Amino acid sequence: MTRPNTLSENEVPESLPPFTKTQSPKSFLYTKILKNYLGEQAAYVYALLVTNERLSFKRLLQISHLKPSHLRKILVSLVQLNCVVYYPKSDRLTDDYAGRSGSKGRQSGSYYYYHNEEGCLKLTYADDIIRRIRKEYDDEYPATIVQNVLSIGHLTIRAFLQPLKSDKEKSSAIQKAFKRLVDDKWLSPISKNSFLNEFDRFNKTFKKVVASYNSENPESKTISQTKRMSMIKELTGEKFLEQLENVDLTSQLRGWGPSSIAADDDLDTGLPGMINPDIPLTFNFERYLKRIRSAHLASEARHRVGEISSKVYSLILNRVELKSRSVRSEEARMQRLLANLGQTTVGYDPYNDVECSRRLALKDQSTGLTIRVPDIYRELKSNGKKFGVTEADLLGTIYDPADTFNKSGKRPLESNDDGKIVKKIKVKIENDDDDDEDDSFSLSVSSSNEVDPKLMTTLLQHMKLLATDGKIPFLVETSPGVFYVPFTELIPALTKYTFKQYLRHILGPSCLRVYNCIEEQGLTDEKNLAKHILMKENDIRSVLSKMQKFRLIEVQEIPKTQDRSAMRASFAFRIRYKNGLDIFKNSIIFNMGEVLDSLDDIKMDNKILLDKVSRDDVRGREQELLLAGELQQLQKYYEYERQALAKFSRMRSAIDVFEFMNGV
Amino acid sequence: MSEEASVTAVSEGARLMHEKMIEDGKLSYSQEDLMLMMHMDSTQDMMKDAQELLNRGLLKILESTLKDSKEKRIMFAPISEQEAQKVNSMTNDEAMIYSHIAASGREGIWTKTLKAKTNLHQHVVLRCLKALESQSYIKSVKSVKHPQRKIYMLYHLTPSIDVTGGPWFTDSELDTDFIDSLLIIVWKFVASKTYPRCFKMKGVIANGLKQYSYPSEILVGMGSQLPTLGEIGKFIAKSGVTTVELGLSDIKSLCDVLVYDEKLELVNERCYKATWQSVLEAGGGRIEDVDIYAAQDDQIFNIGDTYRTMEAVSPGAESNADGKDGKVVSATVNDVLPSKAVLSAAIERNRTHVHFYLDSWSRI
Repeated sequence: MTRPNTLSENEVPESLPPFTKTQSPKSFLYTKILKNYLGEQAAYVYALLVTNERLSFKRLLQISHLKPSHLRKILVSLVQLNCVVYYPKSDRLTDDYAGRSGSKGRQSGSYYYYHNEEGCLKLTYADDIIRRIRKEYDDEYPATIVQNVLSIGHLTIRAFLQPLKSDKEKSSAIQKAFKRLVDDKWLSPISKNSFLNEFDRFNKTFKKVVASYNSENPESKTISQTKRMSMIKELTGEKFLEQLENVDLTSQLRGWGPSSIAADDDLDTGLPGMINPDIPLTFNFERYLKRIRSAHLASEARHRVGEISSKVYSLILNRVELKSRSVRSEEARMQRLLANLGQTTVGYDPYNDVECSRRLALKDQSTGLTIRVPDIYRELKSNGKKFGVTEADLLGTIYDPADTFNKSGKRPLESNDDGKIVKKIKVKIENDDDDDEDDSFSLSVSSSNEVDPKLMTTLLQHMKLLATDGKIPFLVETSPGVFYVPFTELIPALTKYTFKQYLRHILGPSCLRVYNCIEEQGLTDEKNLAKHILMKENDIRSVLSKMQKFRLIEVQEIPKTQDRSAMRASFAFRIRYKNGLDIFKNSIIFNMGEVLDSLDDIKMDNKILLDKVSRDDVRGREQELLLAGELQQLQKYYEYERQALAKFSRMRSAIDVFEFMNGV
Repeated sequence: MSEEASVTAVSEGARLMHEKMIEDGKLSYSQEDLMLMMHMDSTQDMMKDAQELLNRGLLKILESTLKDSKEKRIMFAPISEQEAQKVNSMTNDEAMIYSHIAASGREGIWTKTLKAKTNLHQHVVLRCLKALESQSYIKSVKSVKHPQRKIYMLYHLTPSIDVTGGPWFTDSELDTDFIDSLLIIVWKFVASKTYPRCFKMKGVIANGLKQYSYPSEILVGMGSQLPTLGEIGKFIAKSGVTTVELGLSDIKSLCDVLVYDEKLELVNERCYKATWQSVLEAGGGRIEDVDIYAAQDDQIFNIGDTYRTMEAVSPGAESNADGKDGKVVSATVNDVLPSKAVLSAAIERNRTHVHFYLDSWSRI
């Protein structure tokens, strides 16, 4: 279903032109998703915005060949879903430009439109988001609410409850569900700013700050330009971060107290702290990212440390998740924006990244984020069931020579090799028990008498196991019995490790061996490689060519003769992690698009059958009304769809790690 | 060589000198050494005897330079009677080639170098080499560094490590089977020291536990019980799996390879620890009554779970484990792979020569 890239006069796009696929992998995926959700024309408009970065309504109308009324509707839908943002052409417009709904039609020419990834991401992850919310709460309401929020972008509680006006009980239950979602930060208030382009908004903040700075500090003319700029940058940063945090909205969110009850009698639940029904709420994608970050970390712990340690780790992560740093750091994003300010700029200083990650690493250790054994014990009691771990599961999971294995008459593992070892271990563990009771358990023992000290030791041991992993620092022990999750160091390590695992499974174990060796050696040639990794040179050569194809390695020519003859030169290799990761990520995103594409194709092939099945009179009675061949075909189709969706979600799980958990 | 290479045929003085030189066991003697040994005062007398021995092929002249000066000295080296006879039986060309090969020692000499040094025609060189080889005076060896070159050395010599490439080479080919089996042994030894009872009961964790680990004190820190290079070396020597003598550096290179394969990790810069993933992939660490091929509904997809597929266990067999009750799915490697033509071609190639090693410890 391809068509030419250029449209003839008055032609309306009915299917997506090839450029939507070829301009970038992301454009391919997002247009596919938007096509399935909003239709071809919306996807086409999105793709045009991706190509042109920003377009005015008039220009968009010209190149899309859509009817103005159509285009307007499409833009409204896209803006609502946050797939498109806008900004007024002239900065002179005051802050209330977004609110002039009455004159919007006439004014639409004076706005620029931009594509925005955030909305598309929410749609890409929609199924998993709803699944996770359903798993989180036993109730069905939160999942329904989130599904509604995702499908229309944002909504107010009042609008959601409109059809349920009469059913007071239900409406109060739904309000409670809203409150829980807002409390757990799954939903966040949305302001006009969310629909505006970030760069322009930032630029405007900067201009405002410059004006106010100059008027407030007339003496600033004597300060050097550089110094003044750095002060202004600092102020701009602060002000913009404030805007991002939506301070005023958060204060209004719960401002809905008894005073307003009289006016909103129908929404009164009589409970304090309910959410203001008139503030539009949207899904907080950042919160979801935190959740999948926890899932990935726990899953990795399961493969590196063990099943129960991983469960303990998920309890730990569950405890700190809400307070932990966000996956995509706003501060780092700000630094990038700030780097482009001013008339002369040298671009983004990579040292800023380092500084920023240091600051964030310090924040990871702040008091609210430290964990002790009693905390995890409480977490185990309250949430253990949800994570599939009980106290009984924990007991006996750590080796103890005095334990049941030896009593049962079986030969202890180590005694045949080295009797001494067992003795030493015993002494060690006993010593350790004493230590622990001294420092970290005194609290818990005093608070409740029923705590099993053995259980506490086991918990502590699992945490220590997590802290001893050399490659991925799941936990860090700051002082005896006190741990924290070092997200800032942990996440890049996790990404690299996962990347290598993918390499191993896709390009083969020999590839990982070569990759790791080159990484350790820095710059190395074939001969040296062969010496280090004990592989035949021919095999190494084929692996290297494969790796070169995926830009995992970089080749450097080392001339051996005076005339730099290519015949005599030898070649050395070095690793390019970022390049490799980018290629890899883009391939996967492209393949996600391909999966959706193939699904479309197969739907097209089976269109008649599927139309028949979806007819009202056939639905539910397929067995009687369909021929045997048709039934078989239908089963094949469902099987294919299921496999395609599984493929899609697996590739998406790779993107979780490579896209969001990469960098500061 | 016309004159007979026998000590009996030379004068008394020369015979005595030859005997003394052989008895003394030194490789070479300077003029002064010889005069002192034979208690001679005049150089001429000494030279007369030496010349006699030289004529008979019982002595050879070497050239050496002193450490601190560029001045060259003449040294004399004795040749045993049999050796002299051997050389005497050769033609002049053969003897010349033989002397060059003998001089190259355990390193051997390349035919091209031989030709250049002797200044003989290639046919002659080849004929002489053939004659010498047929009499078992010399042998040809393959060099690891230059597999295309024909290299000769004396028949009774063992080629040096530079030529053979050390313990990893058999007939100058990298012996991957030998290396792989040693890798498995090293890995299994380290794994059994890192995780208690991980190879007992066909890899199922005993007593219905879901995990059974050593406490962290055993794994890191001062009291670490993890094996060091020395311990691994001792284990291999004791186990008698190989007759080849392996030095610590050889063991280190084995461990390095395992580290590159992410089967082992270096702890505290001296001990080795096996990764849990490698144990899982080898079929260990299974939980009792849990089907590892079952759907993992409560887990996020992790590429490390690939070992939970039929394909990983029996390479080549198509997976048919997925698709029970319409659940999503037990993984097959193919599912997660990007479907680009290049990538799938790469995968196909991988599958044709699957690395069997470390797939399943039960095969060991």
